[in-house]
Amino acid sequence: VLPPLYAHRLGRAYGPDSSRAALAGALRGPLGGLETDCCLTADGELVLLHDPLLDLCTTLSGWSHERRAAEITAGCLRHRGGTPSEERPLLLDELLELAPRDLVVQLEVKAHGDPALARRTARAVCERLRDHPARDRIELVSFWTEACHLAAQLGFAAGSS
Amino acid sequence: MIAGHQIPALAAWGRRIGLPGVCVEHFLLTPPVVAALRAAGLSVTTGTVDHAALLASLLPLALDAITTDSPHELRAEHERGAADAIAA
Repeated sequence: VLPPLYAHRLGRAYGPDSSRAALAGALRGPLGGLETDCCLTADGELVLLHDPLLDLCTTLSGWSHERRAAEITAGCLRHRGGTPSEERPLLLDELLELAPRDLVVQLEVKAHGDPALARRTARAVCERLRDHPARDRIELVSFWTEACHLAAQLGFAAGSS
Repeated sequence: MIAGHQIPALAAWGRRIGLPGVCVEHFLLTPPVVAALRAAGLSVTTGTVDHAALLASLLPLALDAITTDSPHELRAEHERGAADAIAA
């Protein structure tokens, strides 16, 4: 039996990582869930980027937690090969609006070399989703044990990766 | 902990703090690893799997979910392989 298939980075075969185009491609057929990464911004928003270092996946530079969400979403995502696309980074709130209500959303908390930032990011995710209708279908994942521990304490479905 | 193959320690930690599951790189998954994690009450998912042959090798583990860059192509490739196996 085929287990549920989750679209990695919202479906990176169909567009830049965690972009609207990737998501649109993933939603063109049967799907078990969506997987993406989230980074904290300087003003407490959650932006869906695989790399907290903006140079790696966007046309911007610097760290996501040192930039405001409006600055980050004004930049463009890069294609897999590094060329700029016309796709803007998505915020977590936008994804939750766009994602069908029956799909699991697996969110990986990212924070490069900074466990305290990982914990702050996990807390921000949990607080954002605490009263959200999507709460029960969100899986929070992280390489950071601190992030997993906090999410579990706060009653979220969390997993170590 | 997985990288150091300390599966019992990972399973015990997960159970202690109330984790529902773990996501483990596919090349580290074996039946004993999955059994140990499941015995601790953890769900087990993996990624990133983009080839039908790799997917087929993981199916006996009965994982809870698999992450892939191209879900539709992977599913189609898997179904073609299954149909070919039946026809052969």
